[in-house]
Amino acid sequence: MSLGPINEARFQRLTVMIVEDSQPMREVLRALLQAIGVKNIVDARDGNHAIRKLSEYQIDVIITDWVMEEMDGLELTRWIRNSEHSPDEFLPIIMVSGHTEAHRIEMARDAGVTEFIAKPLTGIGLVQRLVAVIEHPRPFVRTDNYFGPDRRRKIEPFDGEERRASELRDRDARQTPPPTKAHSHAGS
Amino acid sequence: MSKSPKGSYEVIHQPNKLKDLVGGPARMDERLIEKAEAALADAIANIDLAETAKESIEKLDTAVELLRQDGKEPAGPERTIYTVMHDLRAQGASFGYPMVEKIATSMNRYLELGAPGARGHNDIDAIKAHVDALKAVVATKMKGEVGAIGQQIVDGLYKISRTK
Repeated sequence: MSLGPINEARFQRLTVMIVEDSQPMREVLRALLQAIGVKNIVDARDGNHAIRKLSEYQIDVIITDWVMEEMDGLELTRWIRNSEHSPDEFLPIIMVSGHTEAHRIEMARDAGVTEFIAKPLTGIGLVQRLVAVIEHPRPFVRTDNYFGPDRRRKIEPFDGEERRASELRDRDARQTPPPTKAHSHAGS
Repeated sequence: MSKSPKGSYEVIHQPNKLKDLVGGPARMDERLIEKAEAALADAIANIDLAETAKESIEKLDTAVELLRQDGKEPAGPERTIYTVMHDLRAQGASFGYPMVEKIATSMNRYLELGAPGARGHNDIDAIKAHVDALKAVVATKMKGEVGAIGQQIVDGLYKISRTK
């Protein structure tokens, strides 16, 4: 099959749910998605609302805010990944958040988020993440205390023990001499 | 499923349903990104924060009043203040109101300082100073660069909140 461009005709086949408590942010996200061809857009104002809508619509991708008053994006992600009532535990979840600190991003990944975008939002950021979930879906990993997308950036067979990025950094810091080439693990 | 000394793990390779849905493999398209950026700029240009933040400001006023009444049990209103400020911070950054972003950031850094009820965490004067400053900035539609006076306001808020 030829490698055509991701264009409006391709995106229009997706049904995307926006979970965001801020109405202007919802409108901005909606305008962005419509501009790239997404026609089927379902809005939800918080995690609880999203769960109700998930039982009514067949959703292909979720774009969710993190901080929301009723049920936040992290709780929603955990519910989708782990609840017996979840309609699709493998659903791609793109988190859009004003939280940009590294430990927060690790928290999002540990909850099972597929991709993360820091606010302020950019067009290229959203398109890249959508293409990523379509073109480069990560395998899922189930361990005793985690279920979700493989938290390592590089997609490769998982044949070792689980380690957090911070543990890897600590381990690397103890090793000498200092590394002269890029580390093979880009994230957890 | 494999088993290691640290516990069990399983790697699951799902069929790529989304790629089938959109019609096969695809590459990034510069034209589409330009459309997305243009749509974003248009959407932002049409947003008047003074209008869209009205509901948020009402929530802040209510939460401050609750905090004043129930100062020792701030978990409820404090969570509202944090959530609303977090949202306004993102709106300020996204819609061209850096003063809103800075005031909301200062507020939430303060709220994150300690456990609910701890000193340096829920002082009503520190919180009210932030909320009042934010309301003034939104009411006057202070867009664009922060400027010297704006920076003084932000610095002042930081000092108030760190001495409370």
